[in-house]
Amino acid sequence: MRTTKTITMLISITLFLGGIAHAAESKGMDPELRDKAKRAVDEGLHFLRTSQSDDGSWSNSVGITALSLRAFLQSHRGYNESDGAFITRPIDFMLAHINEDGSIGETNLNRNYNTAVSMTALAATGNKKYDEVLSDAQAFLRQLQIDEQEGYEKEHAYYGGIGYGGDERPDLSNAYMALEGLRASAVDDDDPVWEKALLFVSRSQNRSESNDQEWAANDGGFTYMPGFSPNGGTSSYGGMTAAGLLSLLFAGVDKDDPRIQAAYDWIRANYTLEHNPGSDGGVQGLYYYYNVFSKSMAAYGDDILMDTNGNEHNWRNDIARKLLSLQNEDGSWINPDSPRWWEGNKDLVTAWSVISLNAALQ
Amino acid sequence: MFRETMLFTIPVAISLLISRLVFAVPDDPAGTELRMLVYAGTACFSALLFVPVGAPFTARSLPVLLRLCAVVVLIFAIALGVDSQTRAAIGQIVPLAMMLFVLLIAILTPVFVFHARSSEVRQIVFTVLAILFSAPVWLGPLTEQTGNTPGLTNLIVGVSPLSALAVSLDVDYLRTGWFYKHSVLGSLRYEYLSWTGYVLIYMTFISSLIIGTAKFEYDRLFNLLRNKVVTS
Repeated sequence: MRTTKTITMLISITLFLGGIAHAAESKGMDPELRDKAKRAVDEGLHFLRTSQSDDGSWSNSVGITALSLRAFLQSHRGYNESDGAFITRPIDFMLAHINEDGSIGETNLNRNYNTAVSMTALAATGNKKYDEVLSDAQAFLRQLQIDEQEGYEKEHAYYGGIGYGGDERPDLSNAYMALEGLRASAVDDDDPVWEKALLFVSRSQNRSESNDQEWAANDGGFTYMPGFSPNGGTSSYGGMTAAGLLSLLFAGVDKDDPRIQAAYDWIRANYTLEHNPGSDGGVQGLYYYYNVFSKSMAAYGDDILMDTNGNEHNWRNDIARKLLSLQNEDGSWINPDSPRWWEGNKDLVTAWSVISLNAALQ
Repeated sequence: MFRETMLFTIPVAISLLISRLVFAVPDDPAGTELRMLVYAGTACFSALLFVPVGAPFTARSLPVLLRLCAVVVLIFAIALGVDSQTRAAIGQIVPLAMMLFVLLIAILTPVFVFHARSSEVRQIVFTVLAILFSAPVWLGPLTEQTGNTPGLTNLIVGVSPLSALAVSLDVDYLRTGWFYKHSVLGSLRYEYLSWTGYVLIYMTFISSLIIGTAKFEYDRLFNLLRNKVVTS
């Protein structure tokens, strides 16, 4: 009797602890959907394996190679350098394209983008031997940031911004990428780069209380750059609003800060994954939106989002279902409706989509 | 010769000043590279537009052309020097000067080749040049519709003489403010041709025209001589 009672107690405790563990693992995403999402990640990574070149690169691009590598390293499989050449060769490819100024890239074009995503990928390896490369890349991004060195004062709309690197026009997309690379490589919180970037990010937000530009509206969303939206005027749209939210978080702004709350409220008011809200036609930059949406929601930390109509959304479930529905039979993703921002490239879009699912599966 | 030089250079200088006013970005202290590209393009067009009608095509034209190029380069050097943000580009003045010279030769050669101070040829050449210069803007949608085929996109980027100037200045002009707003190419994947590649292409074009001219002139003189012999 006593033995039976003990065993029963032990079984109950075991089931209880197992239940806790299972609940912890499936926190946020429905368990069944989680398994499907993991499978989708595996299929996406399999596609990337098949499209990888002999030198380890994807699409002969440092940027796409870095993003693909990151997709592997941050997946639920926990790939690392010990797993083989499909991980080490892309690293070698990136390292072979380190330039004298610390940037990483095969061309003078997209220097910021290529360097930033390479930093994120190298940081994801967790290998200390890349610290010097990361340090040089950080220095490159700092000098790329528009500030007094380029003759700009703090009052200028461009101040603190970062552009593609081939000219001095900054934009929020490149700024967010750079901030992500800097955060991933553990730039100190007190580094002036954050404070400068905050000025630019704030000036890209449609929030007159924190944006000193005359054009600023008050919907809380973000535009591409101060005074310009590719969708007309200075209108906010989904990809940039998520990028702006993420940039604020990277820069160390508190989650309760009104700027962050305003951006989050815009997302709540325009919540959809059927298209890129606010963009022209809704299809341009769609997968960019999915990617930055997932990362921003994961960073914000709330699994359940209530839109302004009072409907609750589990964003992890929603993004997983959406991406699963769009995945091709070969495991890839592509934007068939618009090649803008390289979304006609299967390697890039697949990498973005896998990174999105990785963020949702966290 | 001095008069011819002035007839070339004064309109070029006026065009540069006008373009500077038109494309100035008042609140941009950096002095965008785009403006320099526009100045260069305007200089090239100006040289064509203001070629004196009726002036004889003689061997003196080449020194005049060289003087023109020297003046244009000098104007650019001054512009670069005044603009503190682009002083670093002074190191690129040599490739820029070379590309300007090559482009000017390329633009003026058709005019000279056909003995054409005639308005018809000038208009045709000007129209073709305007089409080529502006190709990244009006041909951009074609690249988007065809799914950003790399070969086609790079071709459209390459045909514009602006790209040649941009490469010599080491500037990604398609992602500067104005072009990013007005051309879809900035959002697509593309590559500029190398600087040496551009020089070779334009020099090949010029050489072909010169050879064609030589052949044309030879045939013309031969027929002239033959007719004289026959009539005598």
